[in-house]
Amino acid sequence: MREDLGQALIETAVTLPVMLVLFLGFLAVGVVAEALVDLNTAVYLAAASAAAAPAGQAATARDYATWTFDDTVANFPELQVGGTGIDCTSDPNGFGAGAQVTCVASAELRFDRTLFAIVVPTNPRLSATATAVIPEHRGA
Amino acid sequence: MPIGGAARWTQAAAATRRGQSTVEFAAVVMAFLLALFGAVSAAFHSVQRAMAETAAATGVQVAAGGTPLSPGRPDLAGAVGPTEAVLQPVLWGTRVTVPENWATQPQGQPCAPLQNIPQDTLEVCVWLPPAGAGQTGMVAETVRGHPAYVVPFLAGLLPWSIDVTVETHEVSYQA
Repeated sequence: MREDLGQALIETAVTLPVMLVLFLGFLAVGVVAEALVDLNTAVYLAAASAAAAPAGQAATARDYATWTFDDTVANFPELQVGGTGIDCTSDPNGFGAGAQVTCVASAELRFDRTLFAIVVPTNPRLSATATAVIPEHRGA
Repeated sequence: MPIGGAARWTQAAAATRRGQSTVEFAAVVMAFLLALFGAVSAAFHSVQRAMAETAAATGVQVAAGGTPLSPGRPDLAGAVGPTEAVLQPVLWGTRVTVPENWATQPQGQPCAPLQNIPQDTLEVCVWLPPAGAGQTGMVAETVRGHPAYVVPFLAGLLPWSIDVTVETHEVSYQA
């Protein structure tokens, strides 16, 4: 009976950490997916904002994109944007009517501030790209 | 009689083992069902949160576009319908509401704190954030609340909530 109890304890001691790591691992995958959705939404809205600026005003378009991206990402504290934040370019250059705007951004998912650091020792770096077209009717 | 005594002992031991097995089985089944329904519930929550974000992004863009009669002013009321339309397929019994007195406030109104929003309710709020650090003309939308549960008995154990806010710049119309 004592041997049975000892064996059960050892089995539990081995199984429990494995189950915990598996459980946290599954949750971590979910958190990464949600963070990707957050980042994609912020970049998508930023590209749309840049395309909604007065045509031909590159600095204004970039400002709109940056404000939109920064303010949206600020609502998702688990995402930390490093470097220059969002970068938007247009093709052809100059953010004129008919141009295609492409915005790219990356952010770090701060696992080190959460319980997930147990199973994910690094902070994954996520990136997202979005494009929008400045309508032809937006003038000169 | 020694044989009869051994037989009784064996029967008693077998009954104890059966009882133990039943208790162990019940415990394992409970844990298994909890893990299974927890995973299903988490998956549904993940879908609902992603859709809430898409819905908020859709709504805030409609608001940023203004109306034909006043294109320079964000159409805050116009954002609610498109947001609800995107959310509808994943609501599963959740009500969508707007803050009280919202329509009377020209700047819109941020959502109530999460703890003040009842269960099975999502609040949609569209408002104009105060200008700051040289930036003007931003429009914000929040979808916040506690969605209805697909697995009702887990409501107390897994208090899922949704709280997403997105912002965009209003559309600049040119002459």
